Amino acid sequence: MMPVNHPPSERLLAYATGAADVPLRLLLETHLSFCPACSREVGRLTAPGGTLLEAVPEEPVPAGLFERIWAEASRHEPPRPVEGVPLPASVLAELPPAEAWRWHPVPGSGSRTARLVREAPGGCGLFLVQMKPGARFPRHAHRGGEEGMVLAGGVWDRGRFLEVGDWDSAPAGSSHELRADEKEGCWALIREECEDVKLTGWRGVLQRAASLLSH
Amino acid sequence: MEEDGALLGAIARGSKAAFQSFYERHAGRLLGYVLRVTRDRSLAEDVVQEVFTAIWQKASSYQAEQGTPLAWMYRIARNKLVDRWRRGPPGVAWASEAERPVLALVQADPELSMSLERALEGLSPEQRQAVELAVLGGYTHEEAATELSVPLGTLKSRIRMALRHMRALLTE
Ligand SMILES: [Zn+2]
Repeated sequence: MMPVNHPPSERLLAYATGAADVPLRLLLETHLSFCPACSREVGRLTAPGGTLLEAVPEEPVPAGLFERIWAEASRHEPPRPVEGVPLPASVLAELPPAEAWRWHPVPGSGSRTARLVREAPGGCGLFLVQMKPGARFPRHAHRGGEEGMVLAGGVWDRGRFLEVGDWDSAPAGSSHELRADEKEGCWALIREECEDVKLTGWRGVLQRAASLLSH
Repeated sequence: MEEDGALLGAIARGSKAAFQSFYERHAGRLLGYVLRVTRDRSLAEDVVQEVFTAIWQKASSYQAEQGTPLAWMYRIARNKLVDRWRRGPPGVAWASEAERPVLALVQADPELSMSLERALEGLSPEQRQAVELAVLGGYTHEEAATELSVPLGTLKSRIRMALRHMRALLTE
């Protein structure tokens, strides 16, 4: 089944060019693993990078570099899939192992959250949310923007039912509540932007501008 | 290039031989690219090591829809470089902020009423490519000019024209 709701195209551009911060990058990469349409768009946007690499003159590689790389790589086995949470290997490789995820229950809601990634202080975070079948995630306001997607099951948000791979965003200052699918519950991956995102440099500026503009 | 796709498939299944073949095919150009960005040989070799380690771990996530294996490798390398750059100095030498005209554009118009996306749509295909690569993409002007096979001067004038056009749209 193809996702119906997709990230805005400036998000894909940010991903393709390296302008996305780590939580956004991982969130987009997860969406791409479900979405051939966005994958093709990213492929189009990154094609110049591939052509560039083909054109770059080769540099002589020092002897022994492969052995060094192999010594390092073979210590990092490809990540094992996590039962029930369909995160792609490319994302799992950037996360702490599932055993180390620290879960926090949301009191009285049948939901729990774990922060997977945190950018430097003042930055944003990537969260995993699990909701039991029929669970309600209580109404909450966002000081910063929120973007996320459904990993498994489904969820009602502001009158829309979102299914696997569907992208969703809530602008800063908005509030909403969520209700998980009655049968399957819901797993979601969410990027929360803190109130004072202070990324440095033009990427930060562009990113803030993009998020301002997309609402 | 089909061979690269097959190699990634074998790497995903855990083949060290395929991993070594992929390395032998592409380590030289990857090092060439990273060295151009970092201008520091030992740093560049570290980045190459990180990229290949990531390739080993992530090969099973490679999808042909997302571009050629080389484009995929480029994206991994670019992300590793950006991550180092974000962690701050000492690190990767990047072109100065002054060369990033979008910064000035955005700072000048904090209350932009029109999306960047729509502004980009108003450009000619040549201008749009130039802006995507050199302004939004973080390519150096030289890289973008090579990429688009145009002289550096032509690229710079396309960017200038495009930004003037975008600014006009964005401040309407
Ligand atoms: Zn999509």
